[in-house]
Amino acid sequence: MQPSFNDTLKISLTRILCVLSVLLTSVLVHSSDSISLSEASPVYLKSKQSIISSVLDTDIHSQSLKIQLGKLLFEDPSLSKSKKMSCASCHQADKGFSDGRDFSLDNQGNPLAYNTPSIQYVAFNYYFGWTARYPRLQDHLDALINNPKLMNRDWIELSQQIEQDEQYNNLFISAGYRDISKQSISDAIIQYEYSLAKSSRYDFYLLGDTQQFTEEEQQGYYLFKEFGCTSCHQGKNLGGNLRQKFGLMKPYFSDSIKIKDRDYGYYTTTGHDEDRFYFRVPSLRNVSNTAPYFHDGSATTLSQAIKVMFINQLGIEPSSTDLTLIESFLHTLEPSQ
Amino acid sequence: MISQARQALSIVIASVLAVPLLLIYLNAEMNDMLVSKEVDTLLLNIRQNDSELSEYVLRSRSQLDQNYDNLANAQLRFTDTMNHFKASLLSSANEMNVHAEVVYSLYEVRMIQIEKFKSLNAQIKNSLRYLPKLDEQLRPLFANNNSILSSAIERIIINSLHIRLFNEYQLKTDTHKSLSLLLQHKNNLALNDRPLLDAFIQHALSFQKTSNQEQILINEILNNQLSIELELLERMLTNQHHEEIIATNEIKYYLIIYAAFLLLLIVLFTLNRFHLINRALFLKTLSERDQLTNLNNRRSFIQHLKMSMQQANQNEQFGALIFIDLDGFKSINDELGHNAGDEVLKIIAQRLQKHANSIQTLESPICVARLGGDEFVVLFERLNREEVSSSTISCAEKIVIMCANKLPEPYSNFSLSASIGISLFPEHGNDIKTVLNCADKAMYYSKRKGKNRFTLYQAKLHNE
Repeated sequence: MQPSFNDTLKISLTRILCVLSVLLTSVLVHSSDSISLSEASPVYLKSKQSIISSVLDTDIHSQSLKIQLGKLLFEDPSLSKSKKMSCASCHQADKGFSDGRDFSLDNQGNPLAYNTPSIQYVAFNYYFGWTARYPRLQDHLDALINNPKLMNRDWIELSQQIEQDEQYNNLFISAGYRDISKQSISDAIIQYEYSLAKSSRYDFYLLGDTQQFTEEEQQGYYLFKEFGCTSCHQGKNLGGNLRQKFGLMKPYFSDSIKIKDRDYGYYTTTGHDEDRFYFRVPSLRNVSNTAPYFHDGSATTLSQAIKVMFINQLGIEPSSTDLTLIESFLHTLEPSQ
Repeated sequence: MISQARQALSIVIASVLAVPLLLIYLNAEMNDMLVSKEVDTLLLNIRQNDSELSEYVLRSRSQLDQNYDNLANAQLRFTDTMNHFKASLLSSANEMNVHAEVVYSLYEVRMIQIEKFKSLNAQIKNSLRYLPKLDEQLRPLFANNNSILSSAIERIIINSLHIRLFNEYQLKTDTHKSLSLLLQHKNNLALNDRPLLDAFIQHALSFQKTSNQEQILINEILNNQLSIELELLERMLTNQHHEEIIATNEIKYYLIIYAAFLLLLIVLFTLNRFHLINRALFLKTLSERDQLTNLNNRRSFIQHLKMSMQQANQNEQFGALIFIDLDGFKSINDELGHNAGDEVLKIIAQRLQKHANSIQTLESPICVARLGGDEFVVLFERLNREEVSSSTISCAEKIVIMCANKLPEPYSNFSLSASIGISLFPEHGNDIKTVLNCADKAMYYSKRKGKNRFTLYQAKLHNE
């Protein structure tokens, strides 16, 4: 696009002005005494500092408002088409942001394909869903909102509905969002989900507070590392950053149980044979509160799940003491109050 | 004052010339061209993320990173940039589309490879951790018998650790042998202990398999096609940018500016040089000329004399010196004043120069100089042996007549004459002092003899 004559004139003039002002300031700086400069600098610094601190304050303030707004949205059943289901109906705060069922029920009352995972430590996860189909939390949220079995909503329709609510309108504005849209709604919800992560006794132990663990728990932690659980359950979130085959040393899905679609893992998404039975290694944080376990809820207790892991993943026949020790260690991963 | 005014004028002229250039420069929107395009930054990011991925894969493999958090975050960044890339490049329909699609598909391949690497690496770590533990449990069983088995197990473990560092064929074959040994001697063990050995064999086998797979995968990850393809794409983009720059008119602005500045500089340079040369010439004449008569001054005369004497000594050439002293000049000065005396000196100088011009040739140049007061000198710089005395004497005759000629109007009442002494070199001396001295002597002889005449120096004059 060719700039009009007026534009070019304006640009030229501003440039000339800039050059002149630079020249002028340089002349002034040279002519002014060094004393006056040294007197001026503290004032300048002071004002700059106050600006920075005020920016940070407002930022933190609006962040907490965003989280409050996100909580409200998270627990609001009017986000679903049936007005009966909210995010919190499957991710219940008192059950470790899971719901304790093998399979949650959809809006028709039928069980869903996968067990509902806990979302408390979703902030540290690298990808999402049992088979890690979604690289972004946003993608996962999209899928849940649009899923006809769950929220069954269209983003445009949903944002229009929220816009009509005066209370929401005020909250969105005070939280610092310019409009109510797919971006702002999902951002608020995701901010809330990120705020759920709490440090556990395990974190304090790692930071050097050895008093946090009992003798048993320390032994359990030792075994947890020694048996090789940490090969996969590693990192900040004790898992959640890689896919691994379920049934690595011994197939988990034996012929006697009829293999369902969901048991093929990532294969259902990609169709590559090499992805058969590959699942995301789930995070072990708060694992003791989120029974039942595995994608199909097939392990009802924690010790059962640990045993399956030992036999199928590690190829080890565990002793009962190993199981109890490791289970006691896993209890340290609960969020401390 | 004048030079200051000239300086001010030149500054004004230079600024007037520079103003249009400045305007053209300000109008030229070249800066927008320099703002890097979005795609270029994206490509740069992709390349950076790509190499980052390789780095973290290697870190994970060499156990510098105990977990995959860094690798996973790098993957996430890579995915984000690739999504941007896909949105910005694949949407725009041009020839780069094909390359961009290839890049995207290679990215997908790379992500699959890295996922596979993570899973394999976790398995390997697990086996490496668990094999020694199994060994610990097995060791008491072999305590009494079967030292072959325990040594085989030990070898397998040590080899496994070695294979992680050096991927040697020998290590693999050795492990194979030990494994087959274990299988052979399995039946020697008690029935309850067999599952433990089975577990060991299973883990060792799976370790072998996965470490082989990982080795292949690492090679694939490190020698990936993506970087080559990215380089191609980048080269294409650079070419395209060059074409874009050439196609715009803005490059013309810049060419004009540079050419004009260059021209201005050249002009200023030549002007300056011209001025300097003139100045130097002016100063040179100032230093060589007598200000009143515009003849050579004493310094320049001595220079000429020195040169010609040097030449005379070297090339067997000859020269002559005519020393002129005006008679009756003092009375003009006294009666009419110094200004009149100066005028008379000018007239005489003109006559001398005119005569010298008329008789000098290229081969024998003549230097006319005023030594000071009413003393003049005519120097024949180069002469042949034959003509030395003849031409000098004829010249001296002519000078005597010239000086005795009637002066123009205001001075016509005064009579002026010349007393002349001639010395030749190298005949009468080899250095300036002697030659000048000889001419002086001869001149005084003329004065004593009654003025208005010339004398050629002879040795006998010395004694009188």
